[in-house]
Amino acid sequence: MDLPIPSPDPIPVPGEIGLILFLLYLTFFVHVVLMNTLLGGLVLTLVSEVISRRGSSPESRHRHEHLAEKLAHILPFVVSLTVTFGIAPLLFVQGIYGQFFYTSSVLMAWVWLGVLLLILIGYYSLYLYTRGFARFARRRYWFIGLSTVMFLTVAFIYVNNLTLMQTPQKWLAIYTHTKGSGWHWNLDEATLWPRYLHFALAAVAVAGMVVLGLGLREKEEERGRFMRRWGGNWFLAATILQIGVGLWFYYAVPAHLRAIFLEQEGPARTLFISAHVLFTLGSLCIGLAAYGRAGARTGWAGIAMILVGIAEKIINRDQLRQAYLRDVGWSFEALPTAPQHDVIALFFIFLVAGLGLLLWVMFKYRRETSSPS
Amino acid sequence: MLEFPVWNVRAAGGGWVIGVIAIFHVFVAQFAIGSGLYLAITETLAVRRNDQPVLAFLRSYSNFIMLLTTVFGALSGVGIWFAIGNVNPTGVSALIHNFMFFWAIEWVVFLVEIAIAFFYYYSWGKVSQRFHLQLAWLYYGIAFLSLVVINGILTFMLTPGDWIHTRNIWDAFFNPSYVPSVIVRTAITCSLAGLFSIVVCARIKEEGLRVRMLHYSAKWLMPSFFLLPVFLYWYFTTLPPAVATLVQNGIDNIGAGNLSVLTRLLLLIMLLSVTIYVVSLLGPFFNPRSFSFGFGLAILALGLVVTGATESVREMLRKPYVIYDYLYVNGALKTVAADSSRYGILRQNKWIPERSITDENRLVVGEQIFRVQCLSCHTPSGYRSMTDLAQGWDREFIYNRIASLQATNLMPPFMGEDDERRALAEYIGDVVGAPPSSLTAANQ
Amino acid sequence: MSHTHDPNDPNTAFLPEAVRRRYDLGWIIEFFKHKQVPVHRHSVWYYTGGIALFLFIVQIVTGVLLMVHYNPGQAHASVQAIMSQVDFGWLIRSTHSWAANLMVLVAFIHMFSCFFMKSYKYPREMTWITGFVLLALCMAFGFSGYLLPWDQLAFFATQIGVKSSEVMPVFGGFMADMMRGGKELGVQTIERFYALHVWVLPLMFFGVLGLHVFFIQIQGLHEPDFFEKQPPEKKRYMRFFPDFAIKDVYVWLLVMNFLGLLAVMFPWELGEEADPLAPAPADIKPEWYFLAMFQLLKLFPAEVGPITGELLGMSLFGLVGLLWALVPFIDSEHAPAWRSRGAFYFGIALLAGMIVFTIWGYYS
Repeated sequence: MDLPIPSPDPIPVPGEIGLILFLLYLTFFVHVVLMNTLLGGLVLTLVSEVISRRGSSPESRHRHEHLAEKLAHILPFVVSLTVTFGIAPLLFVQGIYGQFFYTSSVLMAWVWLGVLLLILIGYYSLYLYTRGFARFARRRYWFIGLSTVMFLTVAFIYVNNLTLMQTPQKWLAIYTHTKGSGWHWNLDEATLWPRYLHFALAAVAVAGMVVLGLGLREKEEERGRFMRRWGGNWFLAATILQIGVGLWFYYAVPAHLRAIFLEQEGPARTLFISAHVLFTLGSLCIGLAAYGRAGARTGWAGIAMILVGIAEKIINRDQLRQAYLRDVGWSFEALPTAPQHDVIALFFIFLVAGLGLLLWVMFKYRRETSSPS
Repeated sequence: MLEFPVWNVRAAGGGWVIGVIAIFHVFVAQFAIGSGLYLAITETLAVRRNDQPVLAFLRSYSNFIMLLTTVFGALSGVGIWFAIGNVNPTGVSALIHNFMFFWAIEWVVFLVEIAIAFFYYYSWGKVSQRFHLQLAWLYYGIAFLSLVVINGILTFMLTPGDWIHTRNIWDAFFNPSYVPSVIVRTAITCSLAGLFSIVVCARIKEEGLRVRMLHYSAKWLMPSFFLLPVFLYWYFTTLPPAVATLVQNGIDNIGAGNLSVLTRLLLLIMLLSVTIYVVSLLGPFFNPRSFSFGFGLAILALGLVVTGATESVREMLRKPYVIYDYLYVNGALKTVAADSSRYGILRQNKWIPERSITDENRLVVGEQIFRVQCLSCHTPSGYRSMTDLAQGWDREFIYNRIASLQATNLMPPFMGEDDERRALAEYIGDVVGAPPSSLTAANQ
Repeated sequence: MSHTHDPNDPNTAFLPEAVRRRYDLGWIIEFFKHKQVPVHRHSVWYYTGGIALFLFIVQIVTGVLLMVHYNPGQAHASVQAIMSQVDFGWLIRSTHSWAANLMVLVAFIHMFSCFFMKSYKYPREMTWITGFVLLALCMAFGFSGYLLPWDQLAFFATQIGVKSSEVMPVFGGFMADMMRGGKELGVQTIERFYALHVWVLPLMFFGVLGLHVFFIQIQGLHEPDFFEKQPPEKKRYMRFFPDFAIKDVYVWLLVMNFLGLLAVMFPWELGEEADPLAPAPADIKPEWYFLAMFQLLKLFPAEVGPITGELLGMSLFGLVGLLWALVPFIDSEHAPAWRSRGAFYFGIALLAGMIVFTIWGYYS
């Protein structure tokens, strides 16, 4: 059976594949951490909001209201940065995997486009929640609830598209069935739900970790302890559930493809094992810090380990994708490249200059807002 | 055309999905850049005069700008990207393969721009006036940079210049229409800043401040009223000769009812633009006291229509290409299409399941071929439809017409073998309700 | 009364010396200085009359330009020439056709907004009557103008319209013959419709419009009840000159743009030349402002006792029209509350009915 996989673009890729993959992993890593903070943060904020109303004790309600407000303040920035840091990996993915990515996007065109509308609603809804925190009082959990539902749906759509991208075997049947209408969800994909749950739980875990981190920096004793414990609980609960979901995800992937993780020797296996070790150790550290059995340094070490683990898993994710694609005859080695070294250099100059400028602005802002004048 | 599946958007066609998103994005994005200059200049002037009411106004205005541009502005831009990927993946792929790192640079610029926008708004009253002004000017500089970068990619699509032969990326980026385009767009950013500001200033409650700010904001529209015609003319001189001829013909013949959409849109653009300037002159400039929010919204709406019309004109000028002289809108490369006589669509397209044409499947195959070659610009019975264009033709005529599409100077050649052409003609004939042929009809 | 010029009058200071020495215009300017417009939440409806006036001016200008090239003896061919040979003829014609429709629409909006604000009440009864006459003249303009291009649509729509007047007892046949200039529609019909359209109706319109505007000027703009009942210090007014007048200019510019948009993007087409011998197209319909009546008439059975359903329908329209025109005398100065409320519901019912039947007529 001839799979309708589009040919590579006649114009060569304007950079070394290795460089582009590196940039992809780097920017996607930042995006994932931010996105997890956002998605998980929305869930945690929603829960905090509910507890702030119906909590069993006034202290509990008060603590959660304060936490919800604190998160509400941060989240709009997180959305903006998440979206911005989502652009870069999407760019690099299209450069390398365009043949597959565009095809799956077209097959579910309306659904895919819907992502933007959902983010728009979710984002403005979040602002309504944040800006109207005092004013809306009772009704504000509609806004945070709406925002949460929007972003959860966006994540689901992404999982649909990105899984469809790697399974060209289904494409022709979908196209014939939908007649190109663009109304399609990839619901018959075996890995769809475990993958979505895996990422959603990871988001909750990271958000819990962020709350723990906020708690580590919190100057007020009581509040700090509460945030460390509550955040830590979410992290631990999500991570424990993750074990089950992770296994489900692992076994949903076709055996010959998941072999790269444990059976075949290679970078994928190294990263996979390393990540799981880091996750285990990191969870331990976080657990200890959350329950006050260890100091702040342990907590930060745990966070660092989790982050490195996430980075490794991100590379794993791409390696799995490549396994899927090699299975249907693609390889990035076969892509023609013609690196534009001058433009790439210019890009790095802009990147360094841009980040430098931001650092300067941040420091100057710090200095001016902390000085007594 | 051969590689990707086709998104079948009923009635309006995929082009309008892009169009609607793009018009709103360009409207807001160009305003975002202009507003950077507006904030920077106005704040500078206000600080020099220690004008507290104006500074207070600018603070709340920058909140509005931030909420509009960092959310809607940014997301609509990504929306265009999603939409063009869905409608014309071949085109987007070509652009990304050429300009990946230019887009990466644009991304860095966006990142810094959004971060500074946040710093600018949230630091009001918390930092020194000097630093705050620096942030304002930084924001503008970076916003302007984002225009400078994207302009290269946008103008490349209409005037790829020497890149066609040299394949040199700098020839592509700094192409013939680059400079006039960036100047035209910069002028527009100032106009839009003025226009939005008029609307926002009309809401100021304190009358003295409102009158002052309305009068001031109206001034922002004046320079471009005089400069735009000059720079637009310069822009037109850099366009490919076939395009220039099209515009010239349209203008020459508009009196006699040459009702091409292009010339009609040009007429509208002139009418609406002049109205915007006249109203802003009579209103916020000369009579700010009686200028109300409702009228501000009305001319803002006119501005949106002008934006939509000008973007439509630019898109139409580029037809039948998505990258001029290189790639047709339906995804076929010009070099490949030139060899159309030895082309077999069914054999080479990856998405049409039928491998040969029979009497039973002729209409089905015809529809597939229509989707692959024509749907990118036409719909069967909706926008720019077959029912509009092929009304009254018989099938023989349609069949012959398809073979000579290039004679219109607006269409790519048909690519396919004779029986594929027949299938397409049958399908179009079916949609239009055409008789088999005038000869056979008469004989019956 | 001697109108001697007062050299110290500040009102006329802006006029040239030569004019001031000869004509005493101070009292006019003084009058207009005092003209005010009430400012309240429904003030926006005050623009509608002006918009209708603006559209009328557009019709005069475009109409005169069309007259230069239109030839009633060669109706279709001359319109064809306007569309394809006269420079921007297509634009002028398109504008004229669109403005005609917009004017009728705006006239209805103006009328209904005045109705619901109860502007017809004492002392403005004659303003209402003259307004009603203006609306009727508007529709007569539309009906007479529609025939002039002499295409299939124009021919058959007019034929149906004229035929419906035949149902009137006694005078029906005579009226129809007068309109047609005979038993059948032909060139003679075009000629009399043309005379009607460019001379008779405009003169009548100017006359009645003059009265209408004169009444408004000397009585001032009507203040709706909720505004009038407020204590004097709470009532806000806007000076007509220059504040409201300049806003009127903006509104007219915006309307002109909207009209331009319609005329350019949806140009009016010219169908095939009328062929009186051909059968009427099956789905022939009058223009939209007659659709409601047309559709409603279809509901009446062919015969209702001794009279035709059509006659009954037309009589009903006549009765409703009469009631509508006479509403200032029914909901009069000292009318009891029930009549006032009744008038309100009558208006709602009429508006709703017109909208529903127009839409129904359009889709059937």
